[in-house]
Amino acid sequence: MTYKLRKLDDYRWLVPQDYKPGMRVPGIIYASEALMENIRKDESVEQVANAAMLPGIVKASLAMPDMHFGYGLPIGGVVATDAKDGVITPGGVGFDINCGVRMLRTNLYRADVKDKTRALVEGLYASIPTGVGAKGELRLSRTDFDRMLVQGARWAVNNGYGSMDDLERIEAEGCIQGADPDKVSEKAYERGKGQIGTLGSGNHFAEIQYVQKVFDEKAGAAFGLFEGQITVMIHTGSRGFGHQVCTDYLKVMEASVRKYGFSLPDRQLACAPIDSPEGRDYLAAMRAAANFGFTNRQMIMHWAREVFMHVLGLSPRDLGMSLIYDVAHNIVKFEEHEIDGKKMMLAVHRKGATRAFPPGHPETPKLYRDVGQPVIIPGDMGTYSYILAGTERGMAETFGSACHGAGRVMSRAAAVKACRGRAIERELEDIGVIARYTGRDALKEEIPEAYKDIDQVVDVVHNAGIAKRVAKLRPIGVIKG
Amino acid sequence: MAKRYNTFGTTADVGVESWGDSLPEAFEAQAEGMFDVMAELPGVRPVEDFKIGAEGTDDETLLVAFLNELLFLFDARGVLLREFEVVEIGGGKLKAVARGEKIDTLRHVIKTPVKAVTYHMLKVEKTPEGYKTRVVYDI
Repeated sequence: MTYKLRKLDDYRWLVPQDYKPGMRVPGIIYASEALMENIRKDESVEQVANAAMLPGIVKASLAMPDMHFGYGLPIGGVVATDAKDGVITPGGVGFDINCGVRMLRTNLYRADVKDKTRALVEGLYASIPTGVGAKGELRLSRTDFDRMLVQGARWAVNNGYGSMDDLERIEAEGCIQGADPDKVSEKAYERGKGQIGTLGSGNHFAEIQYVQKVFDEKAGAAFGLFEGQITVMIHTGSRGFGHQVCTDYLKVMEASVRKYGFSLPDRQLACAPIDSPEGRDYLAAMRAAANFGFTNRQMIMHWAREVFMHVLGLSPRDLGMSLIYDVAHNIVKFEEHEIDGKKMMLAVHRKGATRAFPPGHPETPKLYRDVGQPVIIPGDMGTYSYILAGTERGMAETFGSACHGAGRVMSRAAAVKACRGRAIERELEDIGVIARYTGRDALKEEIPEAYKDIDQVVDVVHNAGIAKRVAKLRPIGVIKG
Repeated sequence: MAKRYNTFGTTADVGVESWGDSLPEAFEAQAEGMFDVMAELPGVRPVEDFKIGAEGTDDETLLVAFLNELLFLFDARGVLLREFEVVEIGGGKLKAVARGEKIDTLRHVIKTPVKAVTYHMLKVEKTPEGYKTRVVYDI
């Protein structure tokens, strides 16, 4: 079927509406010729087409250049539905609700941490619970837990994790309004109660990096970045709490599909009208999980700051370790967008896609009003990460969205196999990255060759104009679950 | 008993195919496969019993519900499971006993924790050779 894909320009491919019967809108894939070759290898193009069948979808079913196969929507998928009569689907958000990433700047140069990198990595590993069996130090009463679900990162700040300044540097100020703990199952609570302030496993990490290159001086300065500077990136989500919320509501949505008589090509796209008891309940629970995710990253950041102060013996002022931004890349948000010249309220599902709002947008933090919202793109542990800024073109074309990472190309099993007879920890050290990890296969599954070339992915986003490159980061130390 | 499951890779995640002479056997093997993805099973001692109940609208959703119950024990209770016995199945309901022990990070080898059980490529089928199941896990 891939012959039906039409190349629109060097960075855009059209999945025509007649690609598959039942599509309500076309699909658009952002990719270069080279990336397209890999994308064609799995069923992700079919998933872009499947998502175009969701009732109430507007404009197009989109996919970012890091796209690969997912459950329901592909990873890298963006789907917006009409808030009035469209549907909402947990398959458009994913299991790890509010998986996301935050990035911190420091006043430090590489030379300042040269002999201390290992101590910093060990410090992070000791302070941030990682992997299976690691429980957070925090035990909340049910009342406090529910309060955290409603207040998000603000709850963390009020309880001594970070400062008020942090909040304006978090998407939605770290709190999605409308979370309702009563819509969350007892099981989600049981899974989540010991996991607040834990990193988890899989592709999640906390990384010490340095700024290898600043591409955009103005935006770089606004973000507080300079070449050679030490930065920190934290990538994690809502842990077992969010996974359980998604699991619970997939069951609800299965019944909803029958109740409302939807016909969908994939069980993982099960959905409900936004304005229905099922839709409203999922939203209220999803928002609680999103707030869990913001809180989780806020607490981990707080510990990371403490480790830096302690290991380097610096005061907060000298360290200058402040949050640049925190973005969610698995979430559904209500946003106003212009469609055919008309302003519409949409439910924008971003699944492995990052919000990228332009300069001047009311939801772009004041600090960055002139340059656009920071868009943080974590790469794999052996290569690079990026920070970009949102653009007007992205707002007009992709509902203000960009890619979220490099995107996998190799299965975990294949990656582990590719590591036979190799010492990955040593290989990383040879290229200047010190790693600490918990799970036996944690490093092997995440080897650089298991991922697409992040340079190529970011090139597409930048050249297509949906976000612009600001700086490139290189890791020097990483902890993983 | 011989191993009654195989794992296979998808782009980002892991799937398990299982088989058995009966539906309970195929379900038990799928459960063992899921825990084999997560940990080195020979190091897990089947010393504690956990009773499990699950419900579904068909065999497939019943299998997902069963696996979700086991995953809950792993993630919320910190338990590694190794032996599974489906004692009753029928009418969209199942009762089972799973045996294992609390995770001991010094003794157990964790491989890859499963985040969630998906509906993708989900299959439970009766074949001339017996029953087969297929489940893809989100990692």
